[in-house]
Amino acid sequence: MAVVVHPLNRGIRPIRIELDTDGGKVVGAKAGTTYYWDFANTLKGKDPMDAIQLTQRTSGLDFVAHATAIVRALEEIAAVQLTGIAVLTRNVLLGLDIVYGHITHFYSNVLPDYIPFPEEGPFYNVAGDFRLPPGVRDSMIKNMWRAFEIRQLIHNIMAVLSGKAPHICSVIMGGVTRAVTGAEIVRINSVLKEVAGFVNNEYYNDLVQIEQVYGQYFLIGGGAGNLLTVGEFPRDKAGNCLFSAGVNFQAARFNKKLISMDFAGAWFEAEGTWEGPLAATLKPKPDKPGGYSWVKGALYRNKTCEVGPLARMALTGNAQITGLGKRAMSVLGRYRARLEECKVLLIQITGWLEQINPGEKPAEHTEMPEEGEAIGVAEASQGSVVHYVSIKKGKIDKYNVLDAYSWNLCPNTREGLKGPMEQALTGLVVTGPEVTADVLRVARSF
Amino acid sequence: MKKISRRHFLKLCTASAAAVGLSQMWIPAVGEAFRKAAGGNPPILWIQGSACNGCSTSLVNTVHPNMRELLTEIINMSFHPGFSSKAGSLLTDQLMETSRRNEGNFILVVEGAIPRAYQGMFNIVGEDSSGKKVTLISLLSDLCKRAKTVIAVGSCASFGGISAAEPNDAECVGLEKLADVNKVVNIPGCPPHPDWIVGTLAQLLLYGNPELDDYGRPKLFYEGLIHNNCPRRQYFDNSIFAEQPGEDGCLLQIGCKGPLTHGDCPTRLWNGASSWCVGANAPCIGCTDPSFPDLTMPFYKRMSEIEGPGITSTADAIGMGLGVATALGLAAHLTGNYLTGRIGRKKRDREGDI
Repeated sequence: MAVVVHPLNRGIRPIRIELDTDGGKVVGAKAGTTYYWDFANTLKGKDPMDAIQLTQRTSGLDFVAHATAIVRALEEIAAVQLTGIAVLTRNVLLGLDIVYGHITHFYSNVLPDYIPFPEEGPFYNVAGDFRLPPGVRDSMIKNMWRAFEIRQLIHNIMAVLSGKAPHICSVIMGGVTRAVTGAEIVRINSVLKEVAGFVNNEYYNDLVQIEQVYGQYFLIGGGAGNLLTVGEFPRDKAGNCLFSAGVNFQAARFNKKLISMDFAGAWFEAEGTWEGPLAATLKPKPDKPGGYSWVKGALYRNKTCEVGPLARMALTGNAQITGLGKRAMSVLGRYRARLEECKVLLIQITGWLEQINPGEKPAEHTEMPEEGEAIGVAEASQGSVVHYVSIKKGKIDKYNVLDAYSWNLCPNTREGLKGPMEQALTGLVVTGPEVTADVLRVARSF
Repeated sequence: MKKISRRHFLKLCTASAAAVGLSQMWIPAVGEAFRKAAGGNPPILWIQGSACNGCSTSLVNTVHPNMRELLTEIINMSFHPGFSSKAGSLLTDQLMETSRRNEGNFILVVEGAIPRAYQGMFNIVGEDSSGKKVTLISLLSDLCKRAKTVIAVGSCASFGGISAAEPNDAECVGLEKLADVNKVVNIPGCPPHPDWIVGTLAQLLLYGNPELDDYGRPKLFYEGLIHNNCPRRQYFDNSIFAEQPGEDGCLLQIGCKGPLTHGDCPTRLWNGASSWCVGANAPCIGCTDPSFPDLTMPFYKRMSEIEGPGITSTADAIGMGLGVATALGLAAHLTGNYLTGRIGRKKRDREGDI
C-alpha cells in the first residue's frame, strides 16, 4: 500500500513523500521536492561575481551560506588572503544566520506538530497525539510569537553588517564591503544578549518539555547514520575551523574533491561530457522515467550522508550530543543538536566581535582571473552547501549548487542508495491510509 | 478613537522613516482602525510558487505591527503554507474549500513565479484527496478567477524575477500573465521590504485599492527613484565616484542600478532601519525593477548606458533614458515577456476613495 504526503509544508521547499507499507510498516520511501529551483543554467556566461547575489536565492533561510560558499570558490581561484576583519565579520554573519535558522525550524517547522492551535486564523491542526499539558501549550504559543520577534532582531543586527536581510550585499570577493564600527558592536552585543536569553530560557524549556513527554522520539527517525560536515568558521590563516570538516565512516582527512553529484532519481539529464564529479551541465527533464524529485543528489566517496546540525555537533564532539549515545541519531537528537549549536554559536559570535579590529581593511581588492575552477563549501543551518564553479574567458562556464536537500533528500542513486530522510522514514509504523504524526515529525526533524 | 483619514494614512506611509518602518503611523490610530474592522476583513490566501521563501522570511521582519499583531489583529490570514499544521491533501482541500466559500471576496497573495513549461510540471504543489496532482499553474488559474484582488509579493510573482532569468528553462512568468491585470497589485523586491507588504495590505483593507504606477506597483512605496533620494547623490552631482566598495563617492562605477530602480529604500531603510544596500557600501542591484535580474546583471559592473564622469544630464533624464533602453533590451531578450502585460494598456485610477 502506498501512502502519500504532498505537500509536506512549513520548510523552505515543500516536499513530497511516498511510503510503501507492508504489514503496517514502512518498507520503502521516496522523498523529493516538486518544483524546479536551480540557477546553474542562468549563471552560464555570467560575470562570476553575479553568482554571489544570484545563488543566495537558493534559500530564503540559508542565504549567507550560499554567498559564503561561492565567494570562497572565487577567492581560491584568485588566491586571495583575507584580512582578519573580513573573516570575523563573515563568521558573525553566518553564525547569526544559522542561529536564525534553528529558531525558525523549532518554532515554525517543529512545534506545530506538537501543540494544537486555536482553529481560527491561519493555523490548522493535524489530528491527534497532543499530549503536552494545557499550561505548557499556552506558554509555547506565547514563545512562538516571541520567536518571530527574536528572528526579526537577528536580521536587524545582520543588516547592520550586511545592508539588509534576507539576501545580503556585503560579501564580495576579497572580503566584506565595510568595517563594523565600535558603536555598532555595542548594539549587536545588546541584541545578542536578548537572543541568548531566549535560547537559554524559552527555547531550552520548550524543547525539554517535548523531550520529557515525547521521549519515544529519541528512539526513531535515525536513518543510516553516515554523517558529514564540510567544516565551518575559520579561526586562523591555516584554515583550521571551529567545526572541523569530516565524516564518521572514514578516518582519512576530509577532501572536498570526493564530493560527487548523482541525479539518477532526479528530473535532470546531463548534457555533454563531465569534466569532474561536479562539472556537469544538467538540463531539467520533468518527464524523465524514474525521476521523482528536483533535488540534485550529493555523495561523498559514493555514500549518501546526513548533513546539518546533528552531523556538526556529533562529529565535533559536542558533549551534550555525544552524551546521548545512540539516542542522538533520532528525531529528538536533531532538535537537541540545533539548540546546542545555538548555544555554542552565540558565545562564539560575541568572541568574534571582540576580536574585530575596526581599523583593519575590510577587503583585499583582487582581479578575477580569466580561467579557473574551484569548489566552495560552507555550512548552513540545514546543512552543508557546496558550489562548483568553472570560469572560462572571464565568464562562468559550468556551475552546480548542492545544499542540505542534496544530501538529506538525495534521490535514488545509480547504485540504488537511499538518502538519509528516506532511510529515517523506513521502518516507521503506518497502519492505515492516513499519515501518522510520526511520519511528519521524522520528516520535519531534518 | 477616530479613524485616521486616508490622506493622513498616505502621508504617514510615505514619510521618511527616521524611526522604524511603519511604526510612526502604526501607534495607535491605525491599529485601532484595524481592530474595528477586524471580523469583517476579507480572508487572505497566501500561495508560495517557485521562489526561495525569502519573501515570507522578509514579512516576518515586520516591526510595527509585529507578526502577532499582524496575524491576530490586523489581517485575516486564512491560509499560508508556512503556518499550517495540516499537510498533504488536507492542506490542498482546505485551500480549495476556503477559496470557494469566499468567492469574489478574498485577497490572493502569491509569492514566487509560475512555471508554464511541460503543462506546469515544473511546479506541482500537491495532491488533492482524490489523488490528483495539482500544478501551481492550474491552482492559480482557479484562484485568480475567484479572488477579489491578487497581490504579487516579490519580483518573481510580479515580473518573473530570478525564476524567469534566461534561459528560463521552466518558462516562469509573473502573475499578470495569469490574472486579469486590473486585479493585480505588484510588490516587487528581492525580497520586498516588509513595510511594502504590510502597508499595501493596510491600504487595501482600510481605504481600497492603492494608486499604482505603470508596472502595477503602489506609488506609495515605489514612486521615487533610488538615485534621486540617495544620500550619495551629492557625489554623483559632483562626479565623485567610488572605484571600490568602501570608498567615498557615488557607486555608479561599481555597478549601482539606483538610476533605474524605484523604491523608498534610501529613506525607509531595511531591517528596523538598520541599513540598506548602499548603506553597506554595496551597489543597488535593481531588485524592484521589471528588468531584474537579466538586465541589471552584471551586478558589480557599471551600467553601460551611462556615460562616465562629467555627466551633464540630470539623473531624472538618465532614469528615463534607461527606462527606454531597458524596455528595448528586454523586448529583444525576452520577446516582450512582461511588458505586454500592463504598459500601454488602459490606465485607470484604481484608488478607492473614502
